[in-house]
Amino acid sequence: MIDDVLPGGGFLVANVPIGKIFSREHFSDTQKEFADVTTKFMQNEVIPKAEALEDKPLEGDLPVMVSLLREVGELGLLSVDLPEEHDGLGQDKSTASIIAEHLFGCPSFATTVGAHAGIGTLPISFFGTEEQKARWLPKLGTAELVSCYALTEPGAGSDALSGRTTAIAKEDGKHFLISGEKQFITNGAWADIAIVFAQVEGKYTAFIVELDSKGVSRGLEEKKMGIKGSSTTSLVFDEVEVPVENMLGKPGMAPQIALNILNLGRLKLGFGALGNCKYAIDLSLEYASTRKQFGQPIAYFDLQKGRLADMIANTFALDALAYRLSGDIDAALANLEKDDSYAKRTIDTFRAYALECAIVKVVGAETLQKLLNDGIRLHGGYGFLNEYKLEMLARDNVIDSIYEGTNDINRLTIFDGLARNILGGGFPFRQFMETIDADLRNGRICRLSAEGPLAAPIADCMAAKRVVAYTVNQALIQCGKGIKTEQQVMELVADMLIAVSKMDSTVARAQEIIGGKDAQRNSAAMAIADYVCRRGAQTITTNALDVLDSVVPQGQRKINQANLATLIGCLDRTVDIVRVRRIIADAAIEAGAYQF
Amino acid sequence: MKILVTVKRVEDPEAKIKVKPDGTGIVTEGINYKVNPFDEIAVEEGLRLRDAHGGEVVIVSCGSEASTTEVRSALAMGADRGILVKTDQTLDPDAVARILVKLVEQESPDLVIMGKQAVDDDQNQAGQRFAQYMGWGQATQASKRANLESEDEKARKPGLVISGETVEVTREVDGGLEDVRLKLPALVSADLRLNLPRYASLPGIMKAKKKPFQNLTPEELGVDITPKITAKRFLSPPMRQAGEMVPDVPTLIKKLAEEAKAI
Ligand SMILES: Cc1cc2nc3c(=O)[nH]c(=O)nc-3n(C[C@H](O)[C@H](O)[C@H](O)COP(=O)(O)OP(=O)(O)OC[C@H]3O[C@@H](n4cnc5c(N)ncnc54)[C@H](O)[C@@H]3O)c2cc1C
Repeated sequence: MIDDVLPGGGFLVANVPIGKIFSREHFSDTQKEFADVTTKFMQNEVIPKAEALEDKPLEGDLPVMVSLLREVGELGLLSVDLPEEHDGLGQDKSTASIIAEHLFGCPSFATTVGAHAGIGTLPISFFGTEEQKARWLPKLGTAELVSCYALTEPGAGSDALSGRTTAIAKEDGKHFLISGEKQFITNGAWADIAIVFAQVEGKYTAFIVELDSKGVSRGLEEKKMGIKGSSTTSLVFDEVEVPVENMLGKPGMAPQIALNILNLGRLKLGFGALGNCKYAIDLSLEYASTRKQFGQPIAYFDLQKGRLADMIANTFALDALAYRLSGDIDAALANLEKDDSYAKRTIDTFRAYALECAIVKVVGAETLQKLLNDGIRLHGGYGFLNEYKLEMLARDNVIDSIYEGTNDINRLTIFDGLARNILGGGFPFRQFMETIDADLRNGRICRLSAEGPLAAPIADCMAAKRVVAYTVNQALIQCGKGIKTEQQVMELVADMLIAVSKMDSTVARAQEIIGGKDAQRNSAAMAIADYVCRRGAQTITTNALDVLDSVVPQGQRKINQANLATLIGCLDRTVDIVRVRRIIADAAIEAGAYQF
Repeated sequence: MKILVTVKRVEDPEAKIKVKPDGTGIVTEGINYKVNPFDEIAVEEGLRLRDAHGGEVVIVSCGSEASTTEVRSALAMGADRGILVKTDQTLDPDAVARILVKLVEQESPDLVIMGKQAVDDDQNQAGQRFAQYMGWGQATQASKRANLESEDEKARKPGLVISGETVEVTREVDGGLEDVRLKLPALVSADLRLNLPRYASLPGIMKAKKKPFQNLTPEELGVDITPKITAKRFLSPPMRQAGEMVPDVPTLIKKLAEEAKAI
């Protein structure tokens, strides 16, 4: 195994990054203060209005949502990662991620912010000319102008680049005429400008369109299951005249723009989910400590402890892998020289981490989903009521698995990225497989020994990586080009990779914590590492069997099954998961809040 | 005009406070700290007055090195410079008052604004003692007539009215409000309804790191901080007993007399 973790799934063949990850333990004072201001604003100004915002109230003529957006704009929350030359704060992605995490408790608001400051603004920041940036960014940073991102069409959803909206050059050479329909546009009702994707002679291209232009009409508000406080409408363009200087990038650059912005959007979505996970845990802990049945707080019932432990451990894993990724991206960006090709190489950096961004998105959306389900059950009948807040969060969370690419599409992205880097040598997979094969042949496979208090979880990670590598290698060898239609296999493999990534990041982060003064907190962190490794090993074991039984032809099954049994054998470790869950829950109940 | 505002580092009022088993204090591990909420209101009032009348807002805190964070928070809100009088000893309100006297001799501010009390030990004494030592007029529990939803509040209009050499203050008193006029320099302590403090903006937070910051010690100021008041023992408030339903009034009276010994 190697120490260098290369982007695009390289963690699969690398050592557990002990001492090498960014995590909240490394937040600077400034980052902590940014987090505090964001939290305070959400708690005082937004969360108390969350329920009312579902009816999209107005304050005079202005939607309350837009006035809140302007308030956070004034505080600088919308311009944290915009360039300083254009009134931004020029902070790194981790700092922007910290803000995204702390916009918790009102997903309608976070969605509005994300559509405006993320996908609605960053295309200009990354791909705009100096003139475009100077013209738009300062006003977007304060939300004086509200933006939106118009990619999806009725006929182009997951197949996002197949849009049929057209932009035809006018004879005057100074304008394009844009015609077509965009669907599901967040901020549609109140945006001033839109990033619109349209075909220019068959080349999919991005434009900045002012929505008060002639020929733009906005559809009615969609009636939705969740994020009801956010606006979702269609946008119809009927020969809308757009000046040529509003073209973003060059003709045909839409794929590059759309997909890269999506990577960032996915990262931020994961962070948004993380913030809500912690919020929901705190609500649940408080409820469980005060609600009494059978003469005692329900938190003391073993079953509820198990439930709380699941919530806490999975949130810890999400936290670990999300900040690890933002830190890795920042480190890669920090190494780039600020020359002419800086913008292009920034984008290349994001592309390199597409697989990891997809993991954070899927894990974020689904960790929160399961957690809210558990949290609501813990609340009993009260969990079903609006008043207890989890109800709204659970409705709002459904969209997380749909937009920024459905989780299905993200799983395909994960597999695709992995396969591509394996076949193209993006990271030293061959060498890794060779050592595994050699060890299998020589009967030398055994559980690797690691050192320190986390030795066992570290050994779990190493063993897990070998199982996953072996399985994906077989899938690729056996299916060859035919893998393209084996989406179920892809999904199984993607979930194995997700499990490894959670294990790897959790263990590395636990290491950052366990030296602390608070003994109970330390043992909870160790227990979380055990928990995540145990659950990860279970997913990996099941999925590996499913994949191999499907892809390996009858004749080769025996040897494959034997090899897999050997590799899985190394993953096997006695963990008293019942005790582990009690340790995690007891520490949290004692602390009275999520404490990591 | 020069306005001096004090801030104290206190345990987050939302935090779950536990008393150490030996009763010598509270468990501080895992506790978050923040600016005393009444002091935030004092800072906000200082900033509004500065913006209306010009001048500067100087932030003062007394406490351990860690209090630097709270001074920076006030600078992030917009104050101009900070002073920390550093000591690891526990300070009683009288020591704080005497430290302030020395600082005021150096700084000669026109107005000192403090929170009416710190939410950690809720003493509500430092301001009064300080004004007494200085021989200044004092208006504690400053509030205002305009409510916190009003247009004036939205426009961040100051609640204290300064004209010439005087300041007019609306005080919160039992059963209502009282208006007083003081000669400057004076001491004002802020109550809850004086204003809604602003949030520090992110650029404000970044700028705060570069603002002038002075570290002093009680020794340098020549103040003896040996406490006059010491805490003997800390105890958690007793658990509230569950209520009891009684069938009728005579039983209630009987129980109040015999068990609760209340009548
Ligand atoms: C509230 C809301 C807000 C939104 N905001 C925006 C916005 O601001 N801007 C914007 O441009 N878009 C936005 N969207 C659109 C969103 O990104 C799309 O809905 C999403 O990408 C899915 O597209 P679709 O709805 O057409 O579903 P489809 O693509 O039709 O998918 C239907 C099902 O088929 C599956 N599927 C599709 N392709 C494949 C495949 N190749 N293999 C296997 N399964 C597949 C999907 O996973 C899904 O389960 C928003 C949507 C909603 C609901």
